[in-house]
Amino acid sequence: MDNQIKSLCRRVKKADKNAASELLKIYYADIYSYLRRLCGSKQDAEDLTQQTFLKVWSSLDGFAGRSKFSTWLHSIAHNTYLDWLRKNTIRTGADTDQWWRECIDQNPDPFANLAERQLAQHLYEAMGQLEEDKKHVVHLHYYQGLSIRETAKVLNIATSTVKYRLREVMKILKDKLIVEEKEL
Amino acid sequence: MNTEDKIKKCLKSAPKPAAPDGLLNRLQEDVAAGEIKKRVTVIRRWFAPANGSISLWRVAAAAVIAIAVLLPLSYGATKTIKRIIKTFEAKFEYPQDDGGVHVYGVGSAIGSSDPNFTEEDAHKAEREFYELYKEGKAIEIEPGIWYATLSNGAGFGYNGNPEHLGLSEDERKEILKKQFDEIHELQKAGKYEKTYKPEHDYVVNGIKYRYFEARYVLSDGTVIKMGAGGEPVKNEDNQ
Repeated sequence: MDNQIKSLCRRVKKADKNAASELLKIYYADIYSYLRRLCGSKQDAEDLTQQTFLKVWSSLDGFAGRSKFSTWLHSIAHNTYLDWLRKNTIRTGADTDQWWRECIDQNPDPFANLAERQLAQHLYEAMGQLEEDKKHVVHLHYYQGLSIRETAKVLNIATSTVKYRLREVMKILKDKLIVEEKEL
Repeated sequence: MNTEDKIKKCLKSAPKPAAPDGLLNRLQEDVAAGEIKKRVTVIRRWFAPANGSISLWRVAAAAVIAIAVLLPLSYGATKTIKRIIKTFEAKFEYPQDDGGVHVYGVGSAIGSSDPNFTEEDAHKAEREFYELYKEGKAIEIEPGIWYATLSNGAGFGYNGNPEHLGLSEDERKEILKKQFDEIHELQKAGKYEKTYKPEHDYVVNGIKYRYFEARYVLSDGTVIKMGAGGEPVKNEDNQ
């Protein structure tokens, strides 16, 4: 797979449109879902995905291949999202957006039983209320499946900081679940 | 399975929002419309080498001045800087083929109109700014330049990534080293944009200097702006 991606990148650098189309097919859904979960609206996520790939085409010349293409791609998507966030400081609905509800309608339900599904929904809701820096490590590491090292590279922070934030998030989520269980 | 494992399992198996119908077509249209080739051309023109060479020795000074002096002056927080305290400093050297050395310096410094301003005060201000940033109370007044009002009413400007304030000195240096390696390559290739910023002209020892800014776009899309050397103004102002 890595070699296939490297080869596609080399071809895109030579302005091969078929190779660009192949790269799109491999990654566009992943980048869309990353941005969709973050920004709180389908329309914005579509626009941000488009902006991300336009940046990819314009800066692929500078991609030296020191990191994996998917890590570099997530860096661009992350920076695109941050730019958008700065310009949209007054946003409505992003914190209460229930993106997972759309997924249950469209995709097979990944949860084995009702209790598990409810737990998952509580967690996704709690995630929406986390501070941005904590939210980002979870989105990249857990939702997008990037390694600790790749997450650190995307966020331009040390791996120790990623680990620290993940521990913090885990503590917050555990506390939250305990409180909710007591209330029930 | 304990609670932590359950949480991790749920997060890892989070469903993926499906991309809407038509998005792939829209993205492929950009490709078909020649966005790849067209954009490369635009970027190459934009990256055209600047005339003359910049004095990299001055980059360090200009970067520090930008943080410590120009921002407070520009945004009206302090009219007269009486004390400047460095809170962080790093220098990266790149030997040249001709035996010379290119040096990039970066630092954080805090200027104050209070002549009794101490190093402890400077670190305290920086820590408070970082807390405000984390709480979302710092605003980005222009790309890469952040501003917040501290509890004592002082304005605090920060040029750079505020996330770095939460890292140890070694971690900051490690990240900066990687960025400067890339910036140096871009600088050598002339792939940067140099802009005169008249609003940031400054005076040192009675001589007025023009302030230039270099803008680099790194391979991950990060934009880095830094001082690109000052040139004395040749007019009646300096006579």
